[in-house]
Amino acid sequence: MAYQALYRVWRPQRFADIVGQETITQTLRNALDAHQTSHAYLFTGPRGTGKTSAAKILAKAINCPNLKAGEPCNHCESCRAITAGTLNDVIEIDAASNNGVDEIRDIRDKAKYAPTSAPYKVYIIDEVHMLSTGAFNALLKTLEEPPSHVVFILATTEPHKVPLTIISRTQRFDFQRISAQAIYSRMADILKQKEMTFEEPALKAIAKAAEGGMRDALSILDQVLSFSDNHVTLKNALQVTGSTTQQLLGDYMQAVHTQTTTKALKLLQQVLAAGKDMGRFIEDLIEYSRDLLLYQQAPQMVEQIELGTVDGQFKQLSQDFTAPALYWMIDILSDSQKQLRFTNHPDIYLEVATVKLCQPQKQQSAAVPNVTKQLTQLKEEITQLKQQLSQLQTQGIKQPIKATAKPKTRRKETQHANVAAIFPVLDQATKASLDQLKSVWTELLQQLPPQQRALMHASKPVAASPEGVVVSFDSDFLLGRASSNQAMVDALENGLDRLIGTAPKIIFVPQEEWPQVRQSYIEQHRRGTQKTTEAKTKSKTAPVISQAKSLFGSDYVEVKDD
Amino acid sequence: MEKKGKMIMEVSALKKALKNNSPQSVYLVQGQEAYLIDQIKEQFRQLLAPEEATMNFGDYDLASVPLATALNDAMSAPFFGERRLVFIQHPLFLTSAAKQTNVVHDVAGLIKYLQQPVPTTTLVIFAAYDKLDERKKVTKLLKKKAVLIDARPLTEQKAQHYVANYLKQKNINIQPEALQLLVQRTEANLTLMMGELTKLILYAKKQREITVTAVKSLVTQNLEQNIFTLVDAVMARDVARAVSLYRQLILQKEEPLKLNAILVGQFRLLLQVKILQRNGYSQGDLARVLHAHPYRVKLALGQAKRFSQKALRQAYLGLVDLEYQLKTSQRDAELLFQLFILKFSQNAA
Repeated sequence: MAYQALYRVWRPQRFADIVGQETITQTLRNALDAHQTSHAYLFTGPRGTGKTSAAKILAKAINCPNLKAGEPCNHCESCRAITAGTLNDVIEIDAASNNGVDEIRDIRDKAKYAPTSAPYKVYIIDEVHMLSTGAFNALLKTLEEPPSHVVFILATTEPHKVPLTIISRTQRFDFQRISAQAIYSRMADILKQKEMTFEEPALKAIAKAAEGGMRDALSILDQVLSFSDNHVTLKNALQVTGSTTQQLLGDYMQAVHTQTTTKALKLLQQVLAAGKDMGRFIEDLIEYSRDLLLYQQAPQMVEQIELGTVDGQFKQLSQDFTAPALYWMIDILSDSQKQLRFTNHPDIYLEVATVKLCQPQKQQSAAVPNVTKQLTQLKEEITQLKQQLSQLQTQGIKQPIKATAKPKTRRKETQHANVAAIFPVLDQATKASLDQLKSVWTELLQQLPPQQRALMHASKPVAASPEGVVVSFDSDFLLGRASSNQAMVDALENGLDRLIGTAPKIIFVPQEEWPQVRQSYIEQHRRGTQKTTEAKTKSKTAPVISQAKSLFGSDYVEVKDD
Repeated sequence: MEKKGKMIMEVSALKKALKNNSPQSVYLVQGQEAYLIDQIKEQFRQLLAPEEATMNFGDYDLASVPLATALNDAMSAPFFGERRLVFIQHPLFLTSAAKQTNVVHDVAGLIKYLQQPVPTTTLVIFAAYDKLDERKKVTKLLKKKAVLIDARPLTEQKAQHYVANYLKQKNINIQPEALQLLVQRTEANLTLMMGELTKLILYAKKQREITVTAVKSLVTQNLEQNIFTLVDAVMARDVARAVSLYRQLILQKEEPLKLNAILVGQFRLLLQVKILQRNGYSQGDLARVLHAHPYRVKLALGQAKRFSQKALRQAYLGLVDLEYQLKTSQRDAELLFQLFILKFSQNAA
């Protein structure tokens, strides 16, 4: 017998064999069991997820006299005939090539006649989205009032191309992509039954390349098997899928990171020598970089995609590279990818790209406005921080001296007024903002749940700017409770956002301390802006005196202060 | 119990009325809820014994059959039975819409018939339109003479209630979250819900309980809802979920540009809702001003509440930029989307 492809030999013959669609097969089996099958089904889903297999099994099960728990027996005459495709009453049509009105009319006319050898006539229409509009309309008429002995099973990969009127007449099942894990176990199962051995990573690589399609996975496996003696190796698998090993990609990225251009170029030569497709290599590199980015934010996901084969090197690299650097690398790689299409010398572009990647980040900054922008942003932030720090220092040192000793000790044991946060608010505080806040304050509190409202009951806004609001509390205890209640602060800020359109930062301050904080702010403010005026007032008197002294000698000058 | 005129009868009332009393001669079914219409049809068909059905039943689609034919049938006496049942579908002449077919309808004949209906005939007119033209003489007369039956779409609550009751009768439990999800995925459309229920009930045949997982894998999400969950994932900065949802959509062979356009549209709606709501617009106002479906606005309101305007703005601008890149660079759409979501979640983190 001629060789049959794996995916044909191992096409599921029972619902239980369909991998990854348990809910759907269970529903179908229950329907068969209860004799409540619909007269029209629509199976949708990406390729290789089991649509056609399910349709065939359903056709068998409906016609099988020995139905057991919704599964066909696969031994009776009709089951065998359907599997072989010889039963006259199960008609498979590929809509891709029979998409005209005439073909569908033909179905419609023949559907009227009773089945000849099985209880039901089953029409399986594959790729149903390819039908023409006229054909759809013809089909619709049949679906609206089907003869009782006919079942339609429509299968498609693109449900959005099927008219809604058709969809609403059918029972629709969406087949999900099969998880890499499920594909892996199915392949392992098949190999075991064929008494072949395999390397685990090899199957994982195939499962990954199949992207959720069982048929794809089995086709790749088929190819791999064709040049290996009953043993599936990673090397063969990668050769078929054309991808580079994670190991090599990892080494390459490592070299890029350490900026050892020679090593990176050598690795590149290795890839070239192995005859890999350059486009594929760049794609792999982009994917690898993306995975690194993904891993920084969603490690579980990468582990799921890679079937738990995340190695130490990958983890290390994801920590070594900063996100902007990775974005930049992806930019360079995609540019080279674009250029590859227009050249006969892909290796040159790749080498140039490699050299570029290996250059130190500083030189890259010219090419990447993003990085420079972030750098300047950071610098600005640092200067701002420094300013605030110096402010705090002058503030922090002088203020306690002026203040009485009592509040100083008290502050230590109770709540601090967060001076650093308050001052920037006061810098921009306006009467208008405060008025606006006061007007919505009660409404805002009404929106809180009762418990939080009770907390905030003894509070009032005392100063406000567009960016922040200072809220004073009567009681230190409540203040402590309030400021540690992050959920409530969030609720307040969200509430404000709803009411006045901005979400100012909310800062709490004890009421007793407020006058003092304000005072010190005013003083500091004065010191800041009035340093010059102070100097001026001094200089008003001082220059006169000093000049007089220089003219007449200090002995003769008597300063009378009145 | 059944009054002519302004009273509109619901399906359940019709059921009772048809069981207890003999049917009236003219009924007008108003509304487009396909499931209810099917139920009503079923109720009327039960008036006829099965052996009569072929002789004394007529179903006329006025899109292709002239009204006169239907009236002719209505005026003839029943054959070997007590009554004749005549359905009339697509009575476009009751609305103000322009004629679509060149079938000539004898409207005057209908007026004449309405004034003197044949007592042995039950005439049921299915007007699956939003609004009838009340100025037309025939509409006025029909509304006066016929028993009105309500087949208008149910409100969200009512539909949900209907489903819950239906399940109770079938003695099947449904988890509250599962019901919620079902309503969400079918957009509270009764016809869709009842269709999906058949599958769910079959699945839950043994356990007698419909779970969230069952709803998730059996009830289809349409593209908008898929996008809706995608929006949710984007805004929640759930990179993993967003990326896998996007891939799923691409695998369904959705156009990336189309996906992006819908995403942009959704974020624009969220922003609009957010801003307008602050200016005191209620849900109804919003739906009217934005020309959006009320249920969509309701969902958008719920969603918008959870996010700050700044974050929405950022996402919106990011998506607009993504669109620009999709159209100018030759990069893979999926990669671009991944980069977008990664950047977005990083910036805001």
